[in-house]
Amino acid sequence: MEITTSEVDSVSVVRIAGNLDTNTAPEAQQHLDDLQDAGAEKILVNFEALGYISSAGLRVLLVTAKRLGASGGSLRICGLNETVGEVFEISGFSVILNVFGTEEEAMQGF
Amino acid sequence: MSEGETPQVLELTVPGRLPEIDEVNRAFNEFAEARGVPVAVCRTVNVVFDELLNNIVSYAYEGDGDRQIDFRVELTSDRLVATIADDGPPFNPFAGSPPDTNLSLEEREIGGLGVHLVRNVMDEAIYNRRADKNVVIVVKYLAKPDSV
Repeated sequence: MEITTSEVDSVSVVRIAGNLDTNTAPEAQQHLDDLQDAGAEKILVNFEALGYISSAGLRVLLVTAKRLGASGGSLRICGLNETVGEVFEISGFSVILNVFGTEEEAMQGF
Repeated sequence: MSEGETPQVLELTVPGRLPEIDEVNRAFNEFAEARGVPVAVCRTVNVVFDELLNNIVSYAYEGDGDRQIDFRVELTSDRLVATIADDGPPFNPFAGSPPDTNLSLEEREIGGLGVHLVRNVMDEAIYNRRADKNVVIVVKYLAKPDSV
């Protein structure tokens, strides 16, 4: 897994490449925690280069969305492939999280 | 499976440690991709292996990394059958009730979600207790190339 972050306007765009699973979730969680500790309030996680996500990865998104929501910020997600989209549907995360098609769509009004 | 068709088989035994998930998925992807299994199916199976191994290592083996986990994958033209066996205490992962996926963000917890994913991304998910082993069998039906 590789994580790269860029600041676009007031949004932290976090691109996660590879897989978000049992073994990579702790590093992703740390990265997102560090961003929030540094004051990030709007985070866009771009999954265009993600292969798959398991429940350990979903936990990272859930924890991040809850913490951002509690502090008045918000989380958006974009770029789901077929497998990731199916996991989002089955878990109900496509409903409780803000999911967009492309990064451009996700950035609109953020 | 077509009648008389001999399945192609991948067998693998790994220590019950979390980093082994990567090794199992790497070996599976190499086996499956070389035989034309679509990448989306491989990714789905990767999720299933991640969830099942995580459960075995964390709960059945409680971190005892010297215990073994056995994998067997059988591939035929119309289905992929994966069998995962551990020698932990009897435990049926599919016996619990599924999580409530209609709760709000604030109410959602992650518990039970892994097994719920396994059950729903695969076409069949079966548990057996066999000779002191927990045996989970998961099946994914494969579309025939000419039926798309």
